Amino acid sequence: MSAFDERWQKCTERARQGTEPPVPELKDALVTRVLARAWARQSVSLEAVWVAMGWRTLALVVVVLASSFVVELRAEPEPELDRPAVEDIVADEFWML
Amino acid sequence: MAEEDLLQEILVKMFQKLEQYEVREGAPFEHWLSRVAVRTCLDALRAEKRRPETRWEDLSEGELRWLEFMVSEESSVPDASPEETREIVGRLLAQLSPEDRLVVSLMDLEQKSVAEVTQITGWNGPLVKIRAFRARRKLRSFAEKLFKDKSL
Repeated sequence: MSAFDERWQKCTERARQGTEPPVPELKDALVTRVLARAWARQSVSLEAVWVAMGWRTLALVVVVLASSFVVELRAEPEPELDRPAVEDIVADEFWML
Repeated sequence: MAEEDLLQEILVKMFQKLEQYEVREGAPFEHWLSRVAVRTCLDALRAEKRRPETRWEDLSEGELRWLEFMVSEESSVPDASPEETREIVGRLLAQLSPEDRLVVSLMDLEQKSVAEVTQITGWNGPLVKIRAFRARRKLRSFAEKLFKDKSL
């Protein structure tokens, strides 16, 4: 400990002696104000909720669309049917008449 | 900001952040609340920014004797009253940053141990010790600067 520190400690020791400054009394309205402010800060405006939820909903829609697009790309192509084209059947039926 | 406004701010924050408090071993509610209070007070002090400037002419006779005692090596312990002593201590502490002022006030005026200061502030032990060391060094330079003003 330096010489200053020792002397500073003696100074603070003296400052601790004697009567402490009085603690200010609390006013009755303090509790009311605290509760009112705590309540006011907790209440969120409808607009803020709408904005927050709106962005989340939009993000969810984008994710769902992207997922379905990826699933669609990865899906195996549907096998072509061996049935003849419609116009061929109509032509055959025509010549049969 | 007045003391009552600060108290109000602390209580409001306490109610708002009550859900964040978790009961853990070694972390009682009082410590959690004191950290909320410390943060709120430090924010308020930082917002003030302006630090009162003390001049030699502003000091009382008792304060001058304490100042001389702190910076010179030969003078004896002054017999100034505790009130006057508190004045010079307050003047020197007011020159420090909020964090430095807090750590010196807790350790030197309220006689808290390093462990107690860590619990109150949430700072770790080495940080508390370093802050206290640096803060006292700044106090010394403030005291010396103020004492030099006498000779100007």
